[in-house]
Amino acid sequence: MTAHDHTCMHGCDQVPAPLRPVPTSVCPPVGKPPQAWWRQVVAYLRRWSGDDAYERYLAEHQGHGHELLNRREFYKRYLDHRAGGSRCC
Amino acid sequence: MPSTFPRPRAAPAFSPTPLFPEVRMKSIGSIILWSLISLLGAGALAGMALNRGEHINAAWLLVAALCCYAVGYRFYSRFVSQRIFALDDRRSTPAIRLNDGHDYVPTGKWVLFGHHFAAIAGAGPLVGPILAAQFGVLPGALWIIIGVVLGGAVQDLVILCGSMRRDGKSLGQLAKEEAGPVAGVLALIAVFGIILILIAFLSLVVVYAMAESPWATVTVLATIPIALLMGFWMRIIRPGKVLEASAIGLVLLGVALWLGHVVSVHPTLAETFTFEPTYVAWGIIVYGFIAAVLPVWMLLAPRDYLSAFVKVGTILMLAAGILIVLPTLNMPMVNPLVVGDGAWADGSGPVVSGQLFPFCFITIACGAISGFHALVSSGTTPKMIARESDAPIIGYGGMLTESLVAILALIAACALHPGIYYAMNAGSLGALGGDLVAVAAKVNGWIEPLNMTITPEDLQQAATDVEEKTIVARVGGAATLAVGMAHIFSQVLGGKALMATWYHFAIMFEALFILTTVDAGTRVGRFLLQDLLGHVYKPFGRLNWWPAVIGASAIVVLGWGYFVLASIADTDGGVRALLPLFGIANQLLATIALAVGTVMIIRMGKARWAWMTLLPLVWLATVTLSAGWIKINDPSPKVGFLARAAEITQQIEAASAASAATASSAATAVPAVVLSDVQLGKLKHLRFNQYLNCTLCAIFMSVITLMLVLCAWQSWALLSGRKPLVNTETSPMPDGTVPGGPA
Repeated sequence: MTAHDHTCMHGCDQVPAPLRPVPTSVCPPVGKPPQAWWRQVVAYLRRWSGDDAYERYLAEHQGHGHELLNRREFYKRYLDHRAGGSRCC
Repeated sequence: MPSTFPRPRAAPAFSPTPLFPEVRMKSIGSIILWSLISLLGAGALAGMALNRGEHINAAWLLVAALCCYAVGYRFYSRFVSQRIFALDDRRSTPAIRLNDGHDYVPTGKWVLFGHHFAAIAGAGPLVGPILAAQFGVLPGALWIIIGVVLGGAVQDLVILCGSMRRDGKSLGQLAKEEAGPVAGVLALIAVFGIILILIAFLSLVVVYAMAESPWATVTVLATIPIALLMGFWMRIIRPGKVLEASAIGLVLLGVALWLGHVVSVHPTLAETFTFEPTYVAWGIIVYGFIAAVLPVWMLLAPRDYLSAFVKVGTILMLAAGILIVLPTLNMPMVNPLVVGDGAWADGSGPVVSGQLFPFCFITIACGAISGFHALVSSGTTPKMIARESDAPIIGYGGMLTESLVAILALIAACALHPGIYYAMNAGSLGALGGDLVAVAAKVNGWIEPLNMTITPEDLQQAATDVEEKTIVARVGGAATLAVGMAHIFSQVLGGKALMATWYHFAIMFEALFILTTVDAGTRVGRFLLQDLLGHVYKPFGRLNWWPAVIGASAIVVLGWGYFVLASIADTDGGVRALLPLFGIANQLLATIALAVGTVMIIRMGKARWAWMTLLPLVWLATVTLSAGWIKINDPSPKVGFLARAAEITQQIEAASAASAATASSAATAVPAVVLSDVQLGKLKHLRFNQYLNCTLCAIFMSVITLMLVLCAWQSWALLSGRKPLVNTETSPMPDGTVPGGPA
């Protein structure tokens, strides 16, 4: 099992069993775990804003044998998709 | 496999017991702590309620709210989670089972909390409490606190958990599944209706904040090129550098603020950028159309980032400012004018038309209970929850946080001098008398029972402090909040010298995320309309077919744009007419969400706990239907749409009769009621708008009634055994079975 219990978005990875335990920390930030509080804030903001989304994408999909999106193409899809939700009053 | 991820942590062992086994105390220390918090909250509330005419400090309200939220979250959210849903981390959420990297993505609790909060919190919790301050501090404060703990947060949590257990189904799908196809269609109609009215109301708020103010206009206008630059930065120049682009955007917002000041003091430029409300409204309408048609990455996505950062940052600043300053609340706890024999007890209040009940509970929607949240709670959020135990903090906790924002806004408004509050919000300048002397005289008539007075010089000074020509008739609540925030911020930093900057910063902050709502709302409305019309003519449903994109966007924009323009044409600024419609529409959606939630709970075999949604549902249905009935039928033209239409008809008839008399007898002195054709046309238009508002109100009430009947019928059929109790959940149970499905 990889660090994630995600299915590969291209469908080439394992299909998760329905009752697979959920990891204690979903999608931990890439790289060395931050220590200082400001590093944690930056890590949070990167995760929240999607700034680290491509790094997570690469980490998750590298080695699965399929073609990977380049950074530009990835964010083209990511940004189009991200702002599609409702915004309340 | 090369991976920059850390080694996987050990998976947690299956808990042998449910997540929240019992709501029970762990230790004597815990009992003492929570008893103290409860007593502190109750004491603060009692202190406010038993106050006899003295101005109290905002700390009382803050303490009361925070203690109630803490107790509500600690006990009631767990109670709801456990009794109804029995949240269990052994169940896999849709984000885990259906993970597609796009919609269904397991997301950490706090990141998702941030997403959810950014989606639910907008101008509503800021504007509603400010306008409801007309009734005094206590009615709004009690509704915000009690409403959120027992109603709003419960609605968000129940719909979030319900959707999460059903593969992230939308509210419309849930309504269809729980109460039948007609209910599904009604939910869609309600969603479309609320989107139009929501955008119209929020646009009106921005219009009055920007009108006649070159500083505000330039600053808000500058946010468009800033957002475009951010869009190109994140997409083309430095793909994916979101934080970098946001930092640039925030710096440029500061430049825009400075630029606005430069323009406002320049004689020619200031004139050029001073617009009447109608022109500002047209500007927003055109902007809304362009934003809905342009690709998301170009304007909507960057604006969304910018708005979220500014929103959260400013709210934190406001919270810190209030904690540091701890202002005195100058508004009475309960305004004597709105109760008993008070002059406004008949609903003729100058800011919000209508009596304390039910209109206080309509005016404050977001912050207490907001139907729109059900769309978010059944939209993106349930598809991203990684663990079931994350739902309470996101659904219930997110709503509590929004409620705190509403309390902060209420404090900001109530800390103002009531004279300034009424001068800003009590209709148009003409309706207030025309000049500052008349305005001060009129306002003094309202605030003298509070032992307060205001002079024309005070009103002028208040405008000078924020470098505006006037602050009178800045209806809508945005400018009031900006003045309140400027007072608080300037006491922390900069004093009077920075008050104008703080004021315009606050205006920019509000306009920024209101315009984001306009963008996103118009786009969602466009999708709904295309989906609907796609059933009639298939190509219209294609999201990339330009005639459909442009046509649907134009229809949606003109839909809400009409209400904005009609409101501006209204003699009292239009907020008094549009605000109740907005409240009714929002609470209509909440009623639908709670009704669907109640049927869902009964179908799950948890009928004994259905009171958790049933109680707020009964209250909300009573409030919403009462408000709708009063708005249609009240005999006072200041409250009822039909009475107002009748009054306008009388004016038209009197004017026509006077014109006829003038034409037939040249010797007759020209009476004052003689109107030009243009004025007559305006009056007829105004009358049409009353009928339109009345019709819309009746439609909303019919939808609520029909939905309640459908849900009541379903509930009765389930409880009486006419229909089997088949659980519609799709999340597997820990033993691998699906509730209601084959074992």
